[in-house]
Amino acid sequence: MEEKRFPEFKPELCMYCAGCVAVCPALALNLNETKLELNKEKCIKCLACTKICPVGALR
Amino acid sequence: MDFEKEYDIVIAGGGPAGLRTAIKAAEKKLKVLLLEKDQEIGSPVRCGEGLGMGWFNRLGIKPDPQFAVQSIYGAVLYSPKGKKLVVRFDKASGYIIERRIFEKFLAREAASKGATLIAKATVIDVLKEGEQVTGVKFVHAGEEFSVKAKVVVAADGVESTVARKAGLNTTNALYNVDSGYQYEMAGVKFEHPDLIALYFSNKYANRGYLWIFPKGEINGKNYGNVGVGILGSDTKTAKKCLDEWLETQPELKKGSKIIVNAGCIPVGGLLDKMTLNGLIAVGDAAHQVNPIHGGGMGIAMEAADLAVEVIAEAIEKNDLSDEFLSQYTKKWFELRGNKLQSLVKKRKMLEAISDEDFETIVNSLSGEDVLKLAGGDMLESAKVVTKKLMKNPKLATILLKYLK
Ligand SMILES: Cc1cc2nc3c(=O)[nH]c(=O)nc-3n(C[C@H](O)[C@H](O)[C@H](O)COP(=O)(O)OP(=O)(O)OC[C@H]3O[C@@H](n4cnc5c(N)ncnc54)[C@H](O)[C@@H]3O)c2cc1C
Ligand code: SF4
Ligand code: SF4
Repeated sequence: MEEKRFPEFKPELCMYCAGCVAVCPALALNLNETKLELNKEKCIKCLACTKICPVGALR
Repeated sequence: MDFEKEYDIVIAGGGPAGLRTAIKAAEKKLKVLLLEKDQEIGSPVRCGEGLGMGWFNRLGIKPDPQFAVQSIYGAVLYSPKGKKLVVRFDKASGYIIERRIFEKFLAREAASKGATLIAKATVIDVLKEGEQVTGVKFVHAGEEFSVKAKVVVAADGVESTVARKAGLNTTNALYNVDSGYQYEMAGVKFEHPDLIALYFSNKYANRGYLWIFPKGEINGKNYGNVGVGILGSDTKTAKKCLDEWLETQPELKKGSKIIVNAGCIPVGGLLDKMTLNGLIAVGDAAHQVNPIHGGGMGIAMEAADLAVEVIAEAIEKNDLSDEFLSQYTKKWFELRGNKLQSLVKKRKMLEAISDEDFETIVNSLSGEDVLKLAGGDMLESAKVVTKKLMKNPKLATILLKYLK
């Protein structure tokens, strides 16, 4: 079992490609052009977003 | 801002799916509004930019040289150890397009036919009356607006938040998404400047492949897209896969990276539900992508045509129910979805093949074999290889290993 934690975001790496939004089952990620926000109230800490991210901006 | 309070169709997303919907709806004299969150339609590009000739023909799109920048005559496939298979046709089998320009063409066409398009307009939610979707809320330059629609078309790409906010589950399972990363490289020499090159390797492209899609030549040097698509759940990032692979390619490595792209591709989770009362999902938003090679532009535009047909009839009959709109889903599966579904199965088998077995397979095929079998579309080669394998007893033994 992986530890339960929020994903960690490194904005300087982000390409704003929305891959993370596509796999987030909780609609907890909000992307608007060059701003990605995590809604901690919705996030279920599944870390799917960290796996899909093509560049490792979410870990 | 200049838009009306009510439209026949409001489209969320200005990619190929949304733009084609706008064009076809405007041609039918429907009142249509398209909202695109980015400040420029056509950018950023999340795409290898390859489009097969079959799509130009099917969709009636003229390959204007302003966007159809490089004719492609076939493909060259590289095995993990570097053995190559060349599949070359006499006639061009597709183009690499400059998508930034292609989408501008589509946007201008839609506007010229009477559609209204707004860039930098993000749909943040849908309006609902009971179970009926009746419009959207959007933000444009910091200000919030509401607009009514008889039908909302969710064409917002792989992220597909609009359909999900309306209650349609389009979340992508990690297993069904590929993670992609790409450079447009310039000042390089491509071995085959008029073929697409596909490199198969489980080491550098787990489940997917690496590609070179050439876009042109200047001063004796080539430029084009060099990218990778891998299994979404892979622990290595797509960027790392591409960078490590480039280290093994001395000639390519010398090139300049003039554009960096990333993006994800829904490659397999076809949806059996793509409509709600007053809403239709089209393109990547509805996972309408070829599961083997990840191409989705043509499929998205074809689905848009179908969506407009169904919506026009729904409006005419004044029946905006899910039940009526779901004809779109049924018709789409008949036209395209069932074919794609059978490819999902083939992909699952292909992706299990080890690099070693892949080598044996490639060694017993010739470019000629593939050519004979491919007979047409630019990206059909992977499919053809599978077919050929099934027929050869030696290869079938290898395959049996993977068919369990
Ligand atoms: C790395 C990579 C390589 C690819 N290579 C190819 C290829 O060579 N050939 C091919 O045919 N296909 C390719 N594809 C697939 C292809 O890019 C997609 O299938 C295609 O773009 C789908 O079109 P679409 O209109 O459905 O979505 P998109 O092109 O993604 O358009 C969706 C639009 O909606 C906008 N949007 C999102 N949310 C909102 C919102 N809330 N409000 C308003 N607007 C919103 C987005 O900004 C975007 O402009 C590739 C994909 C990737 C990631
Ligand atoms: S998947 Fe990664 S690069 Fe893409 S938007 Fe999310 S955090 Fe940014
Ligand atoms: S951890 Fe899971 S729920 Fe949280 S943002 Fe990432 S994908 Fe969404």
